[in-house]
Amino acid sequence: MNTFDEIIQTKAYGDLSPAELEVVGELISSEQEYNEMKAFYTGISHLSISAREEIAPSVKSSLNAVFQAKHPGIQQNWSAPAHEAEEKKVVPLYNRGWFRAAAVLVVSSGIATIWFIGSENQLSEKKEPVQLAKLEQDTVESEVTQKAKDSSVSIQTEQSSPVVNGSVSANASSSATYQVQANATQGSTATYSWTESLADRSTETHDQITPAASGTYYSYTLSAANSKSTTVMSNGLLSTKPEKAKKAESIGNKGFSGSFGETALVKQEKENQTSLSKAGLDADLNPLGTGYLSSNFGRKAEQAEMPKISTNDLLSLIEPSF
Amino acid sequence: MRVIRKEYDHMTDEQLVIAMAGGDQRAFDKLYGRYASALLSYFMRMLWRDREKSEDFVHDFFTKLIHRPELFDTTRSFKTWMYSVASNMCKNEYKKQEIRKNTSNGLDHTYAVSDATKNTESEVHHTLFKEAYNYQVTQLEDKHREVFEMRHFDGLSIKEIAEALEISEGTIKSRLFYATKYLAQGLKEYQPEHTK
Repeated sequence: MNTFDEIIQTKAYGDLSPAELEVVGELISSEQEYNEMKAFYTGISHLSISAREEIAPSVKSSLNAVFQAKHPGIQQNWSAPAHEAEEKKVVPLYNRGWFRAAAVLVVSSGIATIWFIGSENQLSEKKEPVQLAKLEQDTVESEVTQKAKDSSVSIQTEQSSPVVNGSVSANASSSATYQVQANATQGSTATYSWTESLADRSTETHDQITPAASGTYYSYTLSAANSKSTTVMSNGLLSTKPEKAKKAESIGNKGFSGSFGETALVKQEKENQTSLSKAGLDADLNPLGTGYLSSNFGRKAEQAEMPKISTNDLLSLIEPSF
Repeated sequence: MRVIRKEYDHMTDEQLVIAMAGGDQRAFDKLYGRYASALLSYFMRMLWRDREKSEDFVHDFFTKLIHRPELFDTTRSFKTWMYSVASNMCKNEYKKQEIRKNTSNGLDHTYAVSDATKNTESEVHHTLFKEAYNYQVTQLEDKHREVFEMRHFDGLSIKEIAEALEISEGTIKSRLFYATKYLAQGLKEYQPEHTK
C-alpha cells in the first residue's frame, strides 16, 4: 500500500511502469479512476494537514501537576538559566576538594608511619645490647647454676701458678658482698672486698693489699651467695663447691653460696710487687662489661697503689665459655 | 541549553518513556510535545469531534503513562502502543455511551467556521471537500474508518497500524483498500479542479 500511495501521489498514469500498473491495478482499473484517486489523495493530504489540532495549555499544566505529585523529589529545571547548564565544567579528579583532602591524609599518614617505624627501630637498636647482655647474663647464670649443682669443676689453665680465689655472698634483699683474696706464691696477698647494692647498683669497696717481696702469681678466693648474684664469671675457670651451696641453700632462704678458684696467668709488669688488676676482677665479676663495677674497682685499686695489669692483657687470657 | 534540547531531540520515544518513568520531566515534556497534538486529532476524529472530551482523553492517556509507565512494553514502538491504547479508550467510550457515529452528524463545525471566512475558489473547493469527507467517513464502518484515518491522518504505516490494532497486515490492507475506494468514489464530485 505504501507503494500505491507513493505511486499515485508522484506519478501520472501514463508514466507508470508495468510493475507499477500491476500494483495500482488492485484498486484502479482505468486512467480515469487513477486520476480520481490521485485527486482524492491530494485532498486527503491537505485535509490531514489542516486537521492537526492544537491542544489547550491547561491540559499540560494539569499533567505537570500530576507529574510533580508522582515524582515530588525531582524538581523541574526548565526555568533554570540556559547558561548554567552550558557552563557546567568537568572538573578533573585531582582538582576536586575531596580528592586533595584524601591525598593530604594519605601522605601525612604515610609520613607518620615512617616516622614511628624509624623511632621503633631506634628504640630496638638501643634495647638490643641490653637484651643481648641480659641474655648472656641469663645464659651464664644458668650455666653457673648448673655447674654449681654438678660436682666440683676445676679447670686449670696451662700456666696454673697464679690462683685467684674469690667469694661472693649476697642476700636476696638488697646487697651482694664480694670478697676476693689473692695469694701469691711468693708471699704477697691482696684482699679485696666490696659490697654491691642491688637497689641502686652502687658499690662500696674495702681493699687491703699486702705486697709481697717478690712473686708473680696471685690467688683469689671468691665465694658467692644468692643465686641472683652469681655474676661471678670465670670464663671457664670456675670452681664450685656444691656442698656449701647446699648448705647455704638449706640455711638461707633462696640463695646458694659457692666459691670458685680461678687460675690465670697474670702478666706481671713489675717484679716483686703485688698486683691485682681491676681487669681481672672486672672480667671475672662483671663479664657483661658494666662500667659501674670496673670503674669503681679500678679507681679503688689505683688508690691502693696496686700494680697495673692492663685489662686487655687479662681479657686476652680468658676465653669465653659461652 | 541548546545542547540539552538537542540531546532530548535525539532520544527515541522509548528512551523518553524510560527517562520519564525515572522522574525526568524534560523527557515527559518532550514526549508530550511529540504526540499530544496528534493524539488530540485522533480523539477528535474518533469521538465525533468533541474537543472537550478529546482533551480529557489526552489528559487521561498521559496520566496513565505517568502513573503506570510500566504498562508500556519498551520492546514495542511507543507510537503504535499509544494508538493501541487510544483505540481501546475510544472503544470503551463507544460501549459506555452506546453512541455510534452520528452524534454530530459527521460534520466538523470547526472546519466550516474557520474556512468559511476565506473566499478563494480553491479554498471553497477545499472546504466542500472536507465537509463531504466528514460526511462520507461517517458512512464507513468504524474498523474501516479507523484504519483509513490512522494511515492518512496519523501517518502510521500498515505495519504500525497492524501492531496498534493487533490485527494482521493483510487485514489492514484490505480495510484500507475498501475505505479508500469507498471515499474516493463518494468524494469524486468534490475534488478540487486543479487536481484532476
